[in-house]
Amino acid sequence: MKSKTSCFNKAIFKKNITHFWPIWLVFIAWNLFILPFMIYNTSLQYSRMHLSAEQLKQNQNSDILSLVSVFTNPGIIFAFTLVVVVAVFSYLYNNRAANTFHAFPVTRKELFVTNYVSGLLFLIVPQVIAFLAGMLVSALCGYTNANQLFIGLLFAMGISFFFYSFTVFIAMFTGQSFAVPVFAVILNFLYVGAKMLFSNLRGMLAYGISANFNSGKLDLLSPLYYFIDKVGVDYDYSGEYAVSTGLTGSKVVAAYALAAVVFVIAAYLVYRKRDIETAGSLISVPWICPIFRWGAAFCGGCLFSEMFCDIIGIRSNRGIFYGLLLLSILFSTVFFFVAQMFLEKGFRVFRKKRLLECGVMLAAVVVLLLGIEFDWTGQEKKMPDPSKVDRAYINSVQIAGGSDSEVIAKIMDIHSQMIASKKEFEAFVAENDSQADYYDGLSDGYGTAYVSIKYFLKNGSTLQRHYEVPCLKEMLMDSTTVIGKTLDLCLTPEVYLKNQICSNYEDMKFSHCNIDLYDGGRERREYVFSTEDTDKIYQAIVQDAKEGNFRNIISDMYNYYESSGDDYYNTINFEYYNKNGIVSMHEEYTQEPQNRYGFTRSSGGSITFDDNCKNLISALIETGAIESVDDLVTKEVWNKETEALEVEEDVEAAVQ
Amino acid sequence: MIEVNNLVKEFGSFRVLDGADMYVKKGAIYGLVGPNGAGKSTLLRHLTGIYRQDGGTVKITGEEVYENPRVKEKFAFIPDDIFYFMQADTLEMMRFYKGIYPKFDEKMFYRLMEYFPSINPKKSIRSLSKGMQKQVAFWLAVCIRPELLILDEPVDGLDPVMRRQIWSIIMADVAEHNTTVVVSSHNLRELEDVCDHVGIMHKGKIIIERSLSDLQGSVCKIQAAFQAEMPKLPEGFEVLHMANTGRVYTLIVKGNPNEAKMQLEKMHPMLIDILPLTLEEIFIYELGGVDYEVKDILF
Repeated sequence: MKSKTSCFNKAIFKKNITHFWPIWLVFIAWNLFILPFMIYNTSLQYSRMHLSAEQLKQNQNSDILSLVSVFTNPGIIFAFTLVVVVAVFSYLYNNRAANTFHAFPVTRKELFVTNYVSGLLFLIVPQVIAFLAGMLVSALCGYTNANQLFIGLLFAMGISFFFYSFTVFIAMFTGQSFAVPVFAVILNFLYVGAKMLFSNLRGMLAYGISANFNSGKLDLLSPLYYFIDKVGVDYDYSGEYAVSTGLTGSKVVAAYALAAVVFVIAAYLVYRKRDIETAGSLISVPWICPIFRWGAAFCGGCLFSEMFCDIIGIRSNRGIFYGLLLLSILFSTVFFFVAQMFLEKGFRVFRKKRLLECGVMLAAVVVLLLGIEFDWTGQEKKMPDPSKVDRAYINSVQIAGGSDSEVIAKIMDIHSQMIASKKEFEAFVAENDSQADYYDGLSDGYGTAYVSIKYFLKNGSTLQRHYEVPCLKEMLMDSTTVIGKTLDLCLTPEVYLKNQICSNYEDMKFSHCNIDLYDGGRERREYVFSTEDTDKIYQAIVQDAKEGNFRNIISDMYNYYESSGDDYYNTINFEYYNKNGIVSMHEEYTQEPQNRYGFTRSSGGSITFDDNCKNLISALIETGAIESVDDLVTKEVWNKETEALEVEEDVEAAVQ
Repeated sequence: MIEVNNLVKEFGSFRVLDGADMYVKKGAIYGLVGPNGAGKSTLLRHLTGIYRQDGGTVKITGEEVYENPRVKEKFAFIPDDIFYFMQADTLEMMRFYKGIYPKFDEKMFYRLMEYFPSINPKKSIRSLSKGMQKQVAFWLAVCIRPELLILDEPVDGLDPVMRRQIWSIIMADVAEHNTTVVVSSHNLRELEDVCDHVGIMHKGKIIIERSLSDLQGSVCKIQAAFQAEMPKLPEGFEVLHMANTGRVYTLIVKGNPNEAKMQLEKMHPMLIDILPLTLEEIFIYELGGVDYEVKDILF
């Protein structure tokens, strides 16, 4: 006879095991395939290769980690979790089942604990079995780093525990089984999704506010997104090659595992209060219904109004505002009532009370849009205190900046000028569409340019702004305009070299350097420089950068549609190497590695130049790459010759 | 056995149970009658501890039912739409019930097998007919040795033969173990032959709750013929309905039938007779115009 104080029911547990066997069997099969089978399979490849002990160890290490990263893959575990939760708590989503189970002489605590434990075991036991089998196969195949498997097991169990508990928590709020995976997916991305929508909205309405999505600490509110971002294989970059050393993100897994405990307790408390008659309802807890309605209205309204505004292609700021206002009102209303239709499982939702609520919701939407448009929070005029700025960058066609106080002051000066010129710039942008004007033959391709500013503050936070500013050819030559000042900042030799090569260019070594030459018209020939000549070429480039000889090349970048054609078709191509790794200027600016799982120790690039680059041309003659400047061909000439050749070919084809 | 006081339940803004009271004695067979939507099933789901009430109390053997396994062990609940696990056969359900109900009598289960010859216990229950599924439910319910059987529309949708079989199972259990039975139906005729107590539910309340004998003693149909017109009836003689064909009068009279007959005999009728009154007639005349919708449960 069972204990009166029992919180676990063997009969229900046994029923779960025997009825849901396909689920745990598939999960076992999957995990056995990933660990023991794949370990054995990869070990077979090594038996046919002749590797040194060190190479073998390194390869094995890399293989095990690759397999463990699949074994702990948050997306796969999440998918299995959804199936398990829907299965073990399926009795809550069917009226007959819900009534029958709750008429049995068992408490809700007993039902919850038994079903929760059953589902958790469906996830954990297959992982443990796969781990044990993986250990055995590793030992038999001579793998020496099986400890990674144990760490992988802990990761997998931690991730499973979190996702399972979180999904169970979500499952307690709904009365429909199909809604569990839908809500689980939504809630796993809700925070970052809403942040993205809001950023985009601000970007569209507010002057200087970037629509770009930036990672933040609160992104952990979107667990699956955060897991994918933070959990993975770790690399050691100190050697000649990047070597995978283990799994990274143990603290993330541990923190989420702790959060899982809170979710389990919360899920149980919700279950205790849950009304069984809500089986079949989309939302089973009444106070969630308005949150659902309003959430759907805000997110749906935001998404669709932004999307339609983009499609319509309004350019003036005020036009975007009115467009967003009208579309938001329309789509928020639609989503509000569609959400209500889902809640009521019917179309008769237009009652007085609901219409009033919708009115309040729309008022909130309007207030939000007005607040952004008219900068009620002062975000548009916000500038950091110079004493609190650690580093500042300006990003236009090149990225300039750093921690130098003089550079920071210059960037802040450009920033304040852009703030002060809001009306002027917005009017200019509304009237000038560089692309359309160029293709309509109304402009020479210049018009507007994008300038971004980013401050890294001493407290660890960042402030970023993004502007579309007037950019006419004469403005580029005027050092009082925003774009002129920006160009001046980009023209310093250091900035030029950092952008053309890499941020830590001073430590790099050239491994290859050549110039493309075109003998007899269009025949390409590669002239490779010796190490000594490469240095001469590099020094010449540095000297030209110091003299500002690349000004035309860089200012030409602001013409997105038409090159001046004065620069040479011949380019200097180089490959370089840095034993400490290469950091691009973009990485320095974003503070995010371009390749998170790889490591870049060598890279390459090319230098475009024109006849202003006297030092480089002299060095090319001196090194014997060219005899005179006549050996170089400008893009304008190249294009004309290409056109002439094409005509010639067409004529020949017509004659034949 | 059952004591329900001022039970209130709301589904959103709709009040399904509006202060319902219900009292069932041990060993009684209590018929809960009411039109569709009266709140019968909701009341039964409170009796079985499925729903949590918004107000009032629900007690069985003096204890609150909700979240009380000790009380829930004492009853078996057979809803109108029975739930069985996917792919489960009768034997598997039996093993499950055995694990859930401490007093489940496995020997009795096998002993009763001969009473259900048409049911293959190794066949998936969901593949059985509705009637057979009901039989399985009764088979399992009887084996948990319940003190109380709560049945929601137990014979609804079954053919007459199957209905008879189901009732015979219930009556056999009552006779053998003095089991209390609460049975809901929207058809009063169905309950007339089996119930000794009846409660009529309407709009979330039990508007009448009496024993069958009390009801039958409270209203009677008298047929009488007089030489001339109907004489003036005595003070306090409450006629609910009167019709005549010539000099033959048919009266529905409230009160004890014999007393009514004695009073009428004092008026020297040519003939007088007390006619049997069906349960549905009693309710029609008892409720009269009080609530027209009550007729829905009778026809």
